[in-house]
Amino acid sequence: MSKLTEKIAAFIERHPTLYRIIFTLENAVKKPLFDCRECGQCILSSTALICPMRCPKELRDGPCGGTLPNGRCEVDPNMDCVWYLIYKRADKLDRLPLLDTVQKPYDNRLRGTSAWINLMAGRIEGVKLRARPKKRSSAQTGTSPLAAAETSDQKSSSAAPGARS
Amino acid sequence: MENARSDACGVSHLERVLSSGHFAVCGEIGPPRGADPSEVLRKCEYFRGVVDAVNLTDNQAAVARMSSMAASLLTMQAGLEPIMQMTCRDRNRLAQQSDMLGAAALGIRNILCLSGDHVTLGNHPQAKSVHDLDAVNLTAMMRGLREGHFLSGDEVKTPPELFIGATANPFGEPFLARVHNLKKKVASGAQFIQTQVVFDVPRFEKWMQACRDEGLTEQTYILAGIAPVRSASTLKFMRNNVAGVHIAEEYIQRMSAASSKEDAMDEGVRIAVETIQRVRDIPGVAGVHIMPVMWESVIRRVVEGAGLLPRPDVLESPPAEARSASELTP
Repeated sequence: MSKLTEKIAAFIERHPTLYRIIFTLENAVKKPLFDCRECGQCILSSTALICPMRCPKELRDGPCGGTLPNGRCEVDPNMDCVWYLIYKRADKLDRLPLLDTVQKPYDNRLRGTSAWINLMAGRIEGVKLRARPKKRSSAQTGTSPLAAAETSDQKSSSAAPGARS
Repeated sequence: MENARSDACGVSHLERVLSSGHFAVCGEIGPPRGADPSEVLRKCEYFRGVVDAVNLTDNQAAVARMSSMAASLLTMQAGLEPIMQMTCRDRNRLAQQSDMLGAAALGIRNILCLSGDHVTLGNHPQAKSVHDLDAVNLTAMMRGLREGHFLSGDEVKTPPELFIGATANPFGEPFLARVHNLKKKVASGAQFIQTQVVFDVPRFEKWMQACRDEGLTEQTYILAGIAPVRSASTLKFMRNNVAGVHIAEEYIQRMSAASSKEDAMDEGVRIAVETIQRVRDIPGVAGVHIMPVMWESVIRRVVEGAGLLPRPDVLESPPAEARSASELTP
């Protein structure tokens, strides 16, 4: 985000108790509201405020081929396919165009950390308020946005380990 | 569109068939649940000269089998071109990349990226399901390797020459997600797409229309999935047990109406041939992917019945008819 928030994030990460308080607060909000799974790299804003990490395959780029005709999950037919719900809600909220964004590969180092603090530290992308995201230029430039993302993530998240003591 | 069609071509036979404008035919072999290579080689006999390439499934239905890469190599020894399937279920990004490099080193030129059936649906439900990357990111990672860099950004010394495939299910819900999903895969570098089996042509047509509207048929080759079935019970089993398969009632009735086993088998072939002919008429369909479930011996009847024999020798002959490569490449 900005230099200031990065400094705040770094300060919080130097103080495990403070980190735990903020993380508990975040969970107190996000668990009841979104059934948050602490992935540490929240993309709720681009998935119509439904957490895709509930998917048994943790798919962040759309449903697999196994959604049942009634919109249930192939793995657990008692459960709705989370991507079915996301598309339904996105349609209602007029946020469908956000769903064709290719998400970055999941960074497993951030699992179980605070997405809020990761956001402040600039490790993850911010909230998408506009319904139409900027076009990615992956296909045109020929260089993989994924590779670029991973390398930049490596730089920025070098401070992450140990943050949650 | 620079969707990597022009580079690295001339290696994969399937790619040559498609880029020269022929209507491609792929088959599918499930590797055996044992270490006997002759089982793969025996099945290869049915496909030789009948298809342009065969898929080798990767622990399909989450049941442990001979590895896709080993079976692909056996297929090559039998004189067929393999399409190695790679799921995200059993490997993390390191293993996936090393398998892609290994496959390319062995001479495998086509890899198909899939999410994979969930472990709980297979015979080792206790297993850890990996899903480190999803199929979209897997496709992008493969393109990265071909372009000379690992997902980490490190350089690949000798980039693999691979023809990148991905899957699509036109029949799953919600419909829009099925189009978005393909769009993402194509943007990530998928050069050919194999679809779920088509047992509902109108719905498939609607999906193809949406793909054409998005310009996807200009950027990738779409191969429609075809499954010849030998009995009504197989069809019902597929409908009830195979995730993501949608079967129109009409086909179950037609199969059930058969008076004998032989009749039912004939009807199964008729349905397959008829479906091939119907999807072939849909603009943007570049080929078919025939998956004879436990019935490999039927493949010649189906391909011959659909008038798709002999298969083109792309090094020798130009496309027989209609669509040229230039027509496809914008």
